[in-house]
Amino acid sequence: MTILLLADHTNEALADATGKAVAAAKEIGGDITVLVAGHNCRPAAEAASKLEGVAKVLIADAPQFAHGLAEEVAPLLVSLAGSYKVILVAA
Amino acid sequence: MLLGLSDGGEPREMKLLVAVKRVVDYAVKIRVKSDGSGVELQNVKMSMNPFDEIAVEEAVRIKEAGSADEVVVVSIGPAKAQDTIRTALAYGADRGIHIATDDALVEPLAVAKLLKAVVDEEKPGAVILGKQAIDDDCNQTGQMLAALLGWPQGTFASKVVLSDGKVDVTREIDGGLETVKLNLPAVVTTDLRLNEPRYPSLPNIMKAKKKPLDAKKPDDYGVDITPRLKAIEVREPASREAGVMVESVAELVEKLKNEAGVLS
Repeated sequence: MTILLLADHTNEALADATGKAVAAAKEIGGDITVLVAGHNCRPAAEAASKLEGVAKVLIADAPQFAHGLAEEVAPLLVSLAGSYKVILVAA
Repeated sequence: MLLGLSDGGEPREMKLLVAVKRVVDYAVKIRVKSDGSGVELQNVKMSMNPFDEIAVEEAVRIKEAGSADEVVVVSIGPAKAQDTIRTALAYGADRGIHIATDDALVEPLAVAKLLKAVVDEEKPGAVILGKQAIDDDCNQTGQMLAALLGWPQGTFASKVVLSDGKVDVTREIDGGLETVKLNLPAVVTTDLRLNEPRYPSLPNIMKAKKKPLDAKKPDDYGVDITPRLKAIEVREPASREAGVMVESVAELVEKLKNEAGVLS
């Protein structure tokens, strides 16, 4: 089971919701890849890489992702989605 | 006042499309069916989804302010959804469309596909929806519709300000308020603080009976509304246990440590 998890974050740090989403992903079971889309979001990506159970972190760092707008993030997710069985996002 | 749309062409009529859903009234005490297959809907009071009332109210206010020419209301559901449309017409909407689905369960994706088909026909400058229905709490239709249309979205709106070819939407988010500026046409979903809906006057209720209401079916739009999801079980949340009175601070600390597990 390959899982793509969209991180909830402030660029500087991960939101609590992300850790909880990872816990949910572990219940589903399988390879967990976390996607951090933001601007100057390396700190959040590094925090994601330290979460227990996360196999890989994808980082999309560009000005258009600064505010997590659906119009920008959704096409990014769609472009990646084909390789995963589950897309997980905190509500 | 006519607002130009961002295609740079001739200013055309600004039409607003609003969708409304007939749901169990918010004040009803919900009962789960004994077989766990769903909630009891027989003889239960039904009303317009409260967030949809706010959507209709906002659309009518925009028209009254002169920034729109026509408000079209659509509802997807059984025959009684026509009553819901008539209520919206009594608020001041101009015309209704009922897409009849009998007792079929219609999921947000199917609703979004039907609304896209209506949008393709009606060509509104904006679609205003409630953020979610209070029966399923999905909070998906607006977002899905925006994605299907390739339109920008302003969800959880607590303020909507139209300007030439654009709309500023102030959104209620966890951290506070966020304002986004969208090019029209756009999808807006309403949150509680956007406005307080009016009580339609009796003359407006009577006028609403004469306003046009078109009867359609999903097949007219070529949309397959077959559900993709299956509800496995519906049950009540665990009941809340009674609180315990403690005799002393020491007892409170002991319980917080050993029973609640919130102190180490």
